[in-house]
Amino acid sequence: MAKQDEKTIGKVHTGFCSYVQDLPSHPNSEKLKDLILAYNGIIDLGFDLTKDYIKGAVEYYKGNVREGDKLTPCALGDS
Amino acid sequence: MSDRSNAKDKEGKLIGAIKEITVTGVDAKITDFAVVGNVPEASSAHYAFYKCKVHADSSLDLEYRVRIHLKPSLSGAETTKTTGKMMHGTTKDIYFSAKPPDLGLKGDASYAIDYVYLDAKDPRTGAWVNLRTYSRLDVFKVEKKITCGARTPHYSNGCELLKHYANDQCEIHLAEHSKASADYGAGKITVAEFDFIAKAYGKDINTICANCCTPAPKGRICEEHDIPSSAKAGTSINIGVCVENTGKIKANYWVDVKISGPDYSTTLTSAKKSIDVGKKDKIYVRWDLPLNLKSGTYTIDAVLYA
Repeated sequence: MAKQDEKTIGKVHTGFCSYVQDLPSHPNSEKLKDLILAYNGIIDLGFDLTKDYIKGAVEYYKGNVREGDKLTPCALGDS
Repeated sequence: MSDRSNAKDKEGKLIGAIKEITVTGVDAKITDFAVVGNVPEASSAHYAFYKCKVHADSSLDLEYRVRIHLKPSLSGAETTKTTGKMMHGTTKDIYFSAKPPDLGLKGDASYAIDYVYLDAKDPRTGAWVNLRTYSRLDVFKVEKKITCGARTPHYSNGCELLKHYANDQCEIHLAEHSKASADYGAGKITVAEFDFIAKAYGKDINTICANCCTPAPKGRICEEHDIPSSAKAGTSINIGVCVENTGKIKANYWVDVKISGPDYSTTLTSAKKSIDVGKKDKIYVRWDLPLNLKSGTYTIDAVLYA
């Protein structure tokens, strides 16, 4: 057995991050609205949410990916 | 005053010495004769075998020529070297090299430098004039050429010698050649062994010695992966890692895929997959995302093995 190569080959977004990953490139206010509904327990998106996640989603919506990454566990800025 | 008496010529006239002139000979010379190494038979390059030092005349600027006489004569050997014009009082090292052809030797053969001649060019006529002749007995050897199957001075055969210096792809490039050169300089291999390696420079050693060496598998992680950008906890996804066979042989490859994210890390090992030379293929691992996996971005790192 001989090691030939080693590198980072990609990223996978799950839950909230998967949900918001296209917000910076395709701003969609309906998604933001659903996030708020899920945060308030009115609908279930399949993942837990915090206030910071909502704030982060707004930053993604505005195209501020770095600011969004600071508020969430997502790394959309370098994916 | 002269102590020579006057003499008479045929016609009875007196002939007398009118002035004496002191003549100083040209004092150029050669010192530091030395054999600097052996040379290989069927050589791929010129190898220095002899050196000496020319001391120019103390007052004249002249061009010098050094000639050596070899016994027996050796085809491909330099026997004459000129110094170019030397300033008076200076010295210059002169090296003689040889690139002998295939002599069909059964073993190493001894050669001697038995005479060394120092000539100077007469600046008035352009003719070479012999100044000094040195009788010497400086011996060097022409080493029997190395072959793939026969024992060499330091290895069981020429193939083993090449394999020792070749890289894992059975090739001799600059780094491998440099290593051999350093070993030759350190006396770890002979000039014939070094020349055999030099003949393989830039090549696969199997082109010198057929079926001598098997290259190691070689591969790299290429760019065309098959990775979903998102996944849901509690589901499974396949992660395809692009692998390219950059070696010379078909080989089995496998990957370790490390997935790390918020409070989570796992390493998945793929099955082995055979990939042809020069081809790209994807090697898959299956990631079963735990039900309680947190929202986040998970980084995927791959390590390729062969």
